[in-house]
Formats: sequence, structure tokens, C-alpha cells
Amino acid sequence: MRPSSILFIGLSLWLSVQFFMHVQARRQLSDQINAEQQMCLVVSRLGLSDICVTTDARYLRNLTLSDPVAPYLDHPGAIEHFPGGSFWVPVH
Amino acid sequence: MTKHLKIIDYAITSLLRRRYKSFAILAAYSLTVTTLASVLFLTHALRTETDYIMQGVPDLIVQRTIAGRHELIPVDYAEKIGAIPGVSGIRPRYWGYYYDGLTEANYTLLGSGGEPAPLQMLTGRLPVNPGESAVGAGVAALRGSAVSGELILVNSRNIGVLFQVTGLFRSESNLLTNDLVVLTDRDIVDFFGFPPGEATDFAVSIPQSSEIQTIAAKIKQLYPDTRPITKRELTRTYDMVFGWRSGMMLTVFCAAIIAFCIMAWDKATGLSADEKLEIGILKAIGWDTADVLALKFWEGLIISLTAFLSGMILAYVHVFFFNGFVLAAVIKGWSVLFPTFRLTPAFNLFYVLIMGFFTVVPYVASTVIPTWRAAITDPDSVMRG
Repeated sequence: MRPSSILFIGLSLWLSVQFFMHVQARRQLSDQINAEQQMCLVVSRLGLSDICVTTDARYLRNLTLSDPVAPYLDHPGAIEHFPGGSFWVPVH
Repeated sequence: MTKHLKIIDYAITSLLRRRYKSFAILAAYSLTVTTLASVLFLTHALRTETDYIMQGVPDLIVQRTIAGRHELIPVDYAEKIGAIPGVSGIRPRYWGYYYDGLTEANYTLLGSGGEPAPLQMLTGRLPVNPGESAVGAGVAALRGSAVSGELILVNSRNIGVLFQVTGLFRSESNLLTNDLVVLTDRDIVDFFGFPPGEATDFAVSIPQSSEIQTIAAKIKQLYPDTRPITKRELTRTYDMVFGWRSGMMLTVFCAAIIAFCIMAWDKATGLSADEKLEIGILKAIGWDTADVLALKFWEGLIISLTAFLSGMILAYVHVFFFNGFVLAAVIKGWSVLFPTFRLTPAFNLFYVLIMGFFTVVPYVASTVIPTWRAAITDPDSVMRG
């Protein structure tokens, strides 16, 4: 078999995997809609305002309720020292 | 067509002849694409999920600030705020943070407020009577609590308080409830020792979304010590956090792009002696400049396309099958409680094409340009170096 044929077969296989991933994503998305609706109900019932990803500092746990930019948040000498802070602080 | 197929055949054998170098480039290239794509998939999936979930957040949250800090808000404020035309409801929210010395984790304690409504995401029910609680899956796992189990927390007076667990949030809702401990409003007030008649903040319902901004301004005018946060601001915060300008995206993107630039720069600054010799021989046996350029173009394209597709697949598997374990460690920071990401794959074709363009095109260009310089010179001088 020619090397180019092997290459095309390989690339086609790779593309098929990508296509399969895309199809699976679509299928999971439709399965997830019900779960998301239920999560939306939890949010409105409990009055939640934030998602729970990082819990090491209160301004990371409740991003939306904290000041957008708060240097020296806790006292004048306090600088950001939580690793998550560098990833979660939004840029305005 | 046949000519190009033959050139591709030659390009592959040429790459295989330098198999160690080709494999090293392919591995480094794939790793760069994997890193970029992982961040892209993770942030996009989180953004999609958050966008949907955030539809249920309160229309307006009113906090009180004193000396620039968030303070408890007097419940009396609700009377005048509730009387503003356009406001359909206002309810005080009782919540706070709790550091659990036993597990060294931070929990969010929240008042259940209102009547208990059945929630599909909850096994059991929300607390109704004093001494009852509903907990998130993360808290339950850390404390070994189950429905009908018990949870002991130490209150503001340093007294251990026992709560009966009446509800357990299902792990599908971990993104929202992982660190939650829901108590009755009264228990929260008592637990934290809130002064009588004060709450953490207010959740205000405004049916007409166009009026939210005006009502927020009116509240600020009525009570200058308050800080109204609109639903739009809440959702925009997460848009920015997961947007391409966010800290996470920029940090990983910059590192990956720099790594990629070093690789492309190395290719663009010159050809190895072997490659020059190869070009010289090809020219000497009758290949013209266009054929040599086509050969190097196909070599570049084969490497970059294979690396791009492999990188994308690896990133997809990393984020959606292995819950983004590498990136999750970065986002987690020092959190003890961290939800396991079961993210719904969100595939944005636009981002994929943009990433393909920014990785494949520069690599192919950096392969072809030095070749063109060598190919237009005399074969004899190229072979002599």
C-alpha cells in the first residue's frame, strides 16, 4: 500500500473519531437538558447566586457578590495568595 | 493530482527517514494543542452550563456595605424596597461561610427560606423544622453523612450543634451544591449569632427585566449604604471569568503560544545540513523549485494536521472523560471541597477552526519559507553548505 493511502486512512480515522465525539456531545447535551432544568429550579428555589467550584476563599466561592477588584481585601497588607485567585478573577 | 500524491508519498518517507525528529516535533506540537484545546473545552463547557443555570438567579441582590465591606442588612429595609413599583417580591437571604476544623474545608451555610418545594436534585427534603439540614454531596462525602444521618457543626458560641440530615443533594448538582449545608432560616440566625432583625442580603424579584436597572438605582437612592447587584451583572461576571481574556485562559494560552512560537521559530530560522543536502540533491536530479516547495508544504501539513487532530482528541478525552484532572488541580487551588466535573461536552466549531488556523498555518509557513530560500539558490552551493 502507498504511504499516502496509509496517511489518508489514518487521517480519516482521526476525523471519524472527532465526528463521533461531536455526535456524542450532541447526544449528551440533549440528555443533560433535564438535569440543567432541575439545577435551574434549585437555583431559583434556594436563591443561589454562584456556582461552587473553588471554595478556598469566600471571594472565589461567591465571585458575583464580591467586589470586582479588591486589592488588600482583608487588611492593607493582604495580597492575593490563593492559587485559584489568579485564575478566577475576571478581567474588566 | 497524481504528481501531488507521489510528492506526498515522498514526504512521508522523508519524514520517516528522520523519524526521531519528526516524532519529537509531533509530540511537542500535539501537547501544545492539547493544552490549548483543554482550556478551551473546559471553559466553554463551564460557560455553557453556567449560562443555563444562571437563568434562575435572583433578579436583584441587595447587599449592605459599611466602610467598603459587606455587612448584614436590616430586615426593615425590605418594607420600602418591596413597595417600589415593579418589585413583585423580596425575601431576606440568610447565609454565611463555615470553616470546618475537622475536615479543614469551607462550607456554605444557607437558610432554606420559604416553603419546602420538592426538588428532583434532592434525595429527601429540605429542612422545615429546627435541627434539620440538607447537605451537598461533597459535604456528605467528607463528613460521612447520609439521609437520616447526623451532622455536628460548631456554632459562633463554640457549642457543637447536632443537625438531622433530611436531604442529600444529588451529585449531578455538584456544580451548585457541593459545599452547601441548608438549614432553616431560624437555625442560621441562631448558629451564626446574627443580631435580631438582620439578614445577609435580600433577593428581589422583578418580573420586568427592563425595570431592573431603574429599580436598582431607586434602591441605591433610598438606601445609600446598599449595593444592588443585578442579574445581568451576575451572569456577566461568569461570562468574563470563562471568556478568552480571563486569567485562566490568558495564562495557559500565553504559555502554550510561547512554546509553539519557540518551535516555529526554530523551524523558520534555518534548515539542518541534512535538509539542505536533500533539497540540493532534489534540485540537481531535476525537481524544480515549485516541486520542492510542494514537498515541504505537504511535510508541514502532514505533521501539523496529525498533531492538531491528535491534540484535539487528547484534549477532549482529558476534559470530558477524565474530568479535566490536570486543569482541575489548577482551578482547585487549596480547596478541600472540589466538585468532580461531569461537564457536558460543548463543541464550538468556531473556536476549533480558529485554533486550527492559528496552529496549522504558522507551522506550515515556517516550514515552507526557509525551504524557499534554499530552493532558489544554486543546487551545487546548497549541497556544499
